[in-house]
Amino acid sequence: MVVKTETCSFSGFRIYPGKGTRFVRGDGKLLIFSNRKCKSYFHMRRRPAELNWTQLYRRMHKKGQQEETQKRRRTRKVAAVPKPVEGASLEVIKAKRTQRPEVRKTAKEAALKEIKQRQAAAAGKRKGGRGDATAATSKRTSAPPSTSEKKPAQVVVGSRKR
Amino acid sequence: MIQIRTVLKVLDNSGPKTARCIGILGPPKKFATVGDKIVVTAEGKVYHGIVACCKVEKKRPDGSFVRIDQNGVILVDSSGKPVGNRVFGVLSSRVKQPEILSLGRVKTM
Repeated sequence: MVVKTETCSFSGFRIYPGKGTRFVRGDGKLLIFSNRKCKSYFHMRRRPAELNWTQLYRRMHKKGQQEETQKRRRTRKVAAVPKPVEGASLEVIKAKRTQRPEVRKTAKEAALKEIKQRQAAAAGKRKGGRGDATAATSKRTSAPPSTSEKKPAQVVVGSRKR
Repeated sequence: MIQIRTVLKVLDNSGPKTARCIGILGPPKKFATVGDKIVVTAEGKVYHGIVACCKVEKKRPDGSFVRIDQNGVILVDSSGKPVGNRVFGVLSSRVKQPEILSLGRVKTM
């Protein structure tokens, strides 16, 4: 069972349930103290940053933190590798990347036009075949398959942020 | 632990800023704590009040103690209806009277 602990507002120690006291300051801020020592020092207006044994002091003077930073440095290198997406193999992606913006724009417009034509044709077919009541629903159900078919040409490369 | 002659801070917008306790209602006792009804005077008038926060707090069921930095009271009339219509500051979470908790955004701790 995991027990939820709080942190002392003065020393940074963990406070287990049933321990410590809470203090609500006049401005509404809640402060939690792990023991009477921290509470008393707080009311005496001692600064935790000047006391060796508090977490705040240790953080400021970087005590005992070198192992942590070393570990982090070792595991951080992640190179951005372009991966093939379903519907677009690696060559297609690389070709898209080197494509010039005007070429891309015209290709996009042409693809959109095709989709619209297809949808209109499909809607016209369904309307003629089934009847008006089901025309709306069948138009909607026919729309997704046609756009997913067109996905390979529509892959926008380079917009994913790493 | 509020007793007679304790000066409390008025936590609502009824007018007076401080009120002095002149009596404790209910069964006879020396001290009032959060949630108890007391008799107070404020600016020459007598009101009832509900103690809203107290510097000395009793232990709560989960074992914690919460100390609030002021002794506060919310003024009510003799029927229990609050005199003001807004509450300021932080109240103790032991205040459970619905007439007070419904006075807009009430913050309890």
